Amino acid sequence: MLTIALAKGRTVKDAIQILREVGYEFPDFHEESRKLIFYDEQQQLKMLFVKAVDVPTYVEKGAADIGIVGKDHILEAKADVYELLDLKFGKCKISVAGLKDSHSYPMENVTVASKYPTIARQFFMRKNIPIETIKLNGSVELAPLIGLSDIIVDIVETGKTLQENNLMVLDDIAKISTRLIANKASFAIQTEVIQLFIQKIQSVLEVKQ
Amino acid sequence: MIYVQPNQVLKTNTSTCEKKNVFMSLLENRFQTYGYKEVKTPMFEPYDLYSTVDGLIQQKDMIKVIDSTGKVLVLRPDATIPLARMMAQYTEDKLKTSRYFYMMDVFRQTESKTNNYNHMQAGIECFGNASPGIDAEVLALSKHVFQDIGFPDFTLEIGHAGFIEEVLSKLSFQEMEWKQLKTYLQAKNKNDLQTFLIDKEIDNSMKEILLAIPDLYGTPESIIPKVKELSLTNQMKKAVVHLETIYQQLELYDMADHIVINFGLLNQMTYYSDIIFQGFIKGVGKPVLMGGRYDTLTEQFGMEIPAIGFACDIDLILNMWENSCPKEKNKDVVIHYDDQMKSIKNAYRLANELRRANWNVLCEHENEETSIGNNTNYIVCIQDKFIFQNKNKREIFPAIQDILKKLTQSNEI
Repeated sequence: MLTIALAKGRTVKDAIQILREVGYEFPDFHEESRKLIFYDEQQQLKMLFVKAVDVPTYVEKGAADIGIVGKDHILEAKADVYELLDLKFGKCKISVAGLKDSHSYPMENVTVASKYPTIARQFFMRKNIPIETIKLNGSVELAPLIGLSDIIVDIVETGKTLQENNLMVLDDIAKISTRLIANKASFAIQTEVIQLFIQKIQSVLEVKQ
Repeated sequence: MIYVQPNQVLKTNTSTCEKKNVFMSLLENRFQTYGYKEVKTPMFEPYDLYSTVDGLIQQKDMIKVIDSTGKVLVLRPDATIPLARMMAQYTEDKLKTSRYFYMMDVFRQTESKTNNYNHMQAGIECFGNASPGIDAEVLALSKHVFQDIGFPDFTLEIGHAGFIEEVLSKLSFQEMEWKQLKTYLQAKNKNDLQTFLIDKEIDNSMKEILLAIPDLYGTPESIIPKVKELSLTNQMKKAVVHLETIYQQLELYDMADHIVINFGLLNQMTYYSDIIFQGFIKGVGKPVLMGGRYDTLTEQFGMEIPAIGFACDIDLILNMWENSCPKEKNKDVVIHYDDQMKSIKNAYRLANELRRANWNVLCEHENEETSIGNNTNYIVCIQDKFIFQNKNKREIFPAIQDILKKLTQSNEI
């Protein structure tokens, strides 16, 4: 039996849907459930329902063989895993944003608030701009409004939240979509099972396109 | 390796040590049966050795110390490099095949594990022979070790550093781009790799190979024909044939199951020159064994000697290891005596005899309290008599010969 870690949050519906199309039904699963472990009807897949940021960790440590999670969390965790498929849903981008009238970000003494301090640090290091990061766990948009930071690094889906808070995108860092990742040891030991699983998902994806 | 900390319960500590000893002796025995001899290298190494040689350990990961003259040393961060140096510097003329194994702590401080400085490594290095036969023997040995310790599903993932190196040598990128490319290859991230390659000016056949690498993973029977369909350079063809030969030899060793080929395997140690491999066991998310051939490393120490080796991460394996085939353990007994001279004399004599028969004996006054396990046997010496007692029974022996006979000759205790 394969163990799959699934990220809670905005991509759950799509992820469950794609598993259903491949043939895995989770009868007792619903989003409000307090249960953390689910089995599919045929007892072939064990699903761990965990916080999105933790999915790369579960997979890297081998607590789950595979995982479905956003690219943002994979980049932030720098997890040493295989990234085998782009599932093409949960698309958004990770961007630098600041106050509307700022137009560009300062080149020194920059304070960046973000849920993704690693991604932010890497991006600005490549630009040779030294920054200080403030790790926040939500409502990151608030930080520049009250002067906690100069700019933010966050995911942008529609841009509505930014708009409503008088912020604008200053730079794009990366495109984000949901990925299927695998633990390297699991992939070696259960190569055929995992490859078959990937193939099934891939053919569902191809039909969708 | 357990790291004794004040708050750690000593009892779990001692049992871990015991378990580890049994484990290490299994490894030692298997290494010896393949003709390997044990070596040790100094714990302290000159810092310069590691800062001037290419493709080695990151300098920030090493633990540095300063000796009384002000010279900077590092705690042995790796076992292969000092061994390779030893071979290159102390070998006089052409070297015959030499097989060495080691069981040593290596010291590194990595970002994720800042409080764990030492790692127990057990491994082998075979110098002076570059034939595929030796490669196969080393791989067979690694599988044999894991069979011994009870991991029948141990899977060996084999790649070829020379193959990847050849692909990369045909490309010219900036440093940032190299990093990106390697990340994509290591993660088998075909999607982002494709996007990355779109606007790069690369020969089409190289592009084709690069994009194929993430999928060049699986059983040798399925992957080797697949890789041969690509338009390979001579160097790459040689690498593929080499892997094929090794695999055929492994079949002769009856060790061909649980082998996967991974052409995307990259090791952070860049001294590997030909085959590289990693071993995995169920339940451990990381490789428990790593190794490869490094024919050019010794050149940096003044003499080129072909070499291949691997190292096992003992701590990782021990966490998973249930002692399934315990070595016959010494039996424990506690002997109590009272204030009488006769009692003390008898107790000492009995203790002596039992120790000679390889019992673990604690001999003490009856008022003493020693921490011991639950299944301990007790013998109380009163006057001339010996009272034996444990969880299951109580028996009185009139003379020392009787109790000795009972204890050393029967297996029921």
